[in-house]
Amino acid sequence: MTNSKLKLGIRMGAYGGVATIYLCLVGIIETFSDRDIITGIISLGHTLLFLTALVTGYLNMQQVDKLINPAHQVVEKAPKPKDTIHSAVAGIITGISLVILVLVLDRFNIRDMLVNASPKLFELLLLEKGVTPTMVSLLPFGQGLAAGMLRLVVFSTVLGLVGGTLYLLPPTRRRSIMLGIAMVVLLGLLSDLMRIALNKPGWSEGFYKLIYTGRGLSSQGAVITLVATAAITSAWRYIPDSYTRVISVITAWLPTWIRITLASLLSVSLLLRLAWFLGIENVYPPILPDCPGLITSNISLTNCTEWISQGLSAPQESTEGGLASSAPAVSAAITLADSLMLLGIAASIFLLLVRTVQMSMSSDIQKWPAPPLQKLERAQRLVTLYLGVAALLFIPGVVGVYPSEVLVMVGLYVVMGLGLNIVVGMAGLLDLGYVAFFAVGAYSMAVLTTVDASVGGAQLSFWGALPLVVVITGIAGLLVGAPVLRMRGDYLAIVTLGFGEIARFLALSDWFKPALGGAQGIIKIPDIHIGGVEFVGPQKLYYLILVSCLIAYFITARLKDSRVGRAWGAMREDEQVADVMGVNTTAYKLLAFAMGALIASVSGAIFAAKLGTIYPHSFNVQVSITALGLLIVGGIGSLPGVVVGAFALVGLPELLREFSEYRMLFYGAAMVIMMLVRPQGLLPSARRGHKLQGNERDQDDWMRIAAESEAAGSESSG
Amino acid sequence: MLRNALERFSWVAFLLWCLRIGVIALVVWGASATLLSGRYSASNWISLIVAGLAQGSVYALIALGYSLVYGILLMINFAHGEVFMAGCFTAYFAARALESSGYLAKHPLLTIGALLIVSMAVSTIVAVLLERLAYRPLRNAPRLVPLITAIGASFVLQYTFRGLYGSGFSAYPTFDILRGRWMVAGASIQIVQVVVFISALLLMAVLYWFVERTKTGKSMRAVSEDKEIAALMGIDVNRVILVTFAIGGLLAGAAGVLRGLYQPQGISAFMGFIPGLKAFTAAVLGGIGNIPGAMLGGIFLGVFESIGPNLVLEGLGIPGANQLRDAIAIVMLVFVLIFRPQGILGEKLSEEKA
Repeated sequence: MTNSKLKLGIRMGAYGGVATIYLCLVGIIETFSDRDIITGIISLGHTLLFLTALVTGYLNMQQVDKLINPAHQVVEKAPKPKDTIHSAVAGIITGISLVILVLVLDRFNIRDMLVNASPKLFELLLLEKGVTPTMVSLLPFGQGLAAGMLRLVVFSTVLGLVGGTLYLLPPTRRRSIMLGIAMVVLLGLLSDLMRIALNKPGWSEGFYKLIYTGRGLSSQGAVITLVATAAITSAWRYIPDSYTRVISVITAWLPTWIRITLASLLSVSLLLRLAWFLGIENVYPPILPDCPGLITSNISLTNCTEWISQGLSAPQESTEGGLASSAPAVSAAITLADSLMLLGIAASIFLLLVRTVQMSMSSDIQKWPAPPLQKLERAQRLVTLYLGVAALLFIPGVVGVYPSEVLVMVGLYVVMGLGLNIVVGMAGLLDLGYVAFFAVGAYSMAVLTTVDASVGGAQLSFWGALPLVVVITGIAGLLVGAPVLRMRGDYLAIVTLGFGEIARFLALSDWFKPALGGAQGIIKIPDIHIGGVEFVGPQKLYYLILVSCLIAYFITARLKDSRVGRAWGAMREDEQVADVMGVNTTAYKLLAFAMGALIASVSGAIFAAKLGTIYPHSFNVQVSITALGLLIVGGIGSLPGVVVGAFALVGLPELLREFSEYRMLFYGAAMVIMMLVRPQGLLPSARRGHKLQGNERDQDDWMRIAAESEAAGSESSG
Repeated sequence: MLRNALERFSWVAFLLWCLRIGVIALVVWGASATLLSGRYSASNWISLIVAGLAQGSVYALIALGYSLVYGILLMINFAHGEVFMAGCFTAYFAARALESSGYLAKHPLLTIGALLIVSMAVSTIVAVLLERLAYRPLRNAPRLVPLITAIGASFVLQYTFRGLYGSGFSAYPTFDILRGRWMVAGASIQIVQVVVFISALLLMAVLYWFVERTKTGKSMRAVSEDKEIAALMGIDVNRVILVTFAIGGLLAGAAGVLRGLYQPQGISAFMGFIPGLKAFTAAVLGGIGNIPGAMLGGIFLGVFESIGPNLVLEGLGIPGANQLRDAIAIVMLVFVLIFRPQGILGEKLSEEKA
């Protein structure tokens, strides 16, 4: 047994070594070493390097656990602390692999072939670069090649040991430590975003200075993050409870009229703020909390009017003032609403305090009585909804321009993902050329609205063109759907991929150049207007995208539970049976393609108007793969999954500029890993698509045969 | 009689028939318009066809990889284009090293042999790793799961090699012995095209012999016939599948070097995607799972792609016809899958296979 555990350790160590060398040679370590996680202590590149050793140790212990305790039932057979020695062995082997890499880099020049085998990588591996000089002098074993190699092995061993120990910890503690590390890495990664969002006068600046230096987390920031995460994870299960309790106290003890007044005052204040925000004509509106403060921050009429007069005195090109001309009035109204609300809140807190004092004075033991359950639930739902809507509406103002831009991209992909979800998730048709519909939407919007005389000529407004765009793309969906009606799943995938490529070839070709502009694309696509409000800049476009996301979400959610959705589901599970049961599979397939297409067209149309210029190169296969990838990561068929997937696959890489080079690598790996480990996705839909999950009866006959032969194989071998 | 026919009438079938007739009419119209205009002489056509044969034989070699895997696993190994790229791209570095050391000028044939060995080895390793890491754990998963995995793996491979070897475009060195031209019946033919075509034919002949005559080949055929029975007959199914992927990798690696010989430019990590798609088209065209079919399909596709833009598209009066060369293969794939999913040589497959 010990022998096999040792072998396991060596094997896992070798895997870890191969993985680390891969990360080094592909260039990830080197690229990421420019970004500090904790300033002066560790960069992202080194974090990855060390995390592989840590993960190797952890996985090794998991494998040891499986080896000695296959059924996971006998408690006495759980791995003992002394088993961590095998994790250490895995760490040693990982370290030795890296030492071999260092030696190769030292002796041979392989840079002609492997571009990333650079001197910088060499220095990074010896831990001589990417850390401050003071840190280097603190490192054990001093300078030099031999010392560096020894250090690599020792560090890997220790990290392997730590990884193994981590697996042995009780689950709650393990989770809080792992989340803490993840949180430190995440916050370190988001340091740029945080600088934009937080580093401005006010309380946020102090907070920013505490946690971050200019480049990454500060060391005290890392410690605070770790401790705070650990504290929050251990307190996590009490939070929903206290939230409910607060709401129950409020619903039970505050008179209804106070609650309604407060809520409506808050709404008025929020809406006025929104109107003001949309109304000012600056392309990049400044951050909202700088103007009339939210409930917590400074409220002063002078501050605000001063600010707005500055905004108004700035040079303005267009005269259609919209709400901006009445800005002082609006700001006065906002301040009034805010003050009234604060007064109301103070009054209610006072009331509640009086209540508490009364109760503690009385001999009656009974404390806060709970309101009726139904009422409580309704109140809770309302409050959550209210807070959610308020948060959604105020994100762009709070976070600033660049994060809003990221949110806009995420939103475009959410819309696309929701459309693709109809085709792939609901109807079970794997469409790899979804970008074609996005492109048709963008191009038809561009052709219909552009003011460039060489192409198009209709020169409609965005809203005039949108219905036409939707219809055109819907027809394109039918045209793509019709030929592939009788194709089986995997052929359909490849053919739709082909259609996506054809769309790009045609847009690029001389043949369609008079209509679509060829490789130069279409320029001068006008911006989107509603009344006097011009949707320019990511912070305003955000609202448009938000609305289209909500509409798309509503449509798909309603479709899912409708007769159409059930027909799609039946078709997805078994086309022949669905056909026999009276589902018109031809019509429903076409409908799925058309619905998917017209949702994508909205995304494409906004994309075109957002950029103002479109090129064929924006519509390559990567867009389709990204849309499919976010479905897979979120869970095929699951609507919240689309949102989660879009944030994970589009939002995160947008925030990390170094990441862009490895984005597709990350998507590909995510798809493979999800399929291998968790085919149902992060947020699986309740009614699962069995085409992608093997746990139900499978429709293909060969599958059944394969499963049986597998069973037969295991019987004969066992 | 009439009522019967009316009852069986379906709009989809009707539209498909219209489409079929329309496509044939367009092709015939375009071709005859070009031929009647006399824009190209016979020698032009011969050069184009020979170029198409060379290109097509490379497609055929890659297509065999798709076909072999499909024959056994009923799965589209979407990442096979990247297997081709891996070999071709790695052999490029060997070629450059041999060129700078002067060995290439002295022993060109041995150099080509060395490149073939490097390329085939790398492609085989990539193909085997792909099977072992990405596909084997999903052997019994529903059909779309391995396909999605393969798409993911394809992108992982593309960007891995981009990370390893850099993102620029490179070119193979030129071989002096392959540089000349032959004059055949008034048409000038590049020697390299003939060499590529013949080497590819030789490789295919070896493959055919291997599958038909050797014991491993026999077990491959048995597994593709019925995995369960093959296992009962004492065949190690997993090993056979691994061997199949390895053979596909060998052929793709060889195709990589041949491509580098007749078309030295444009070596990059993304060079595998379009040839992969076209080779898949070729495999479907010939009848997927069918070895002679893949060869025939590849060569047919290569020739059609070579003459198609000039013959059909120019006849239809489409400007810049050569830009649409890549689209031809895809359009062809769509029409083959609509009208003859079993391909040229494929027998009428039962519902579960087709």
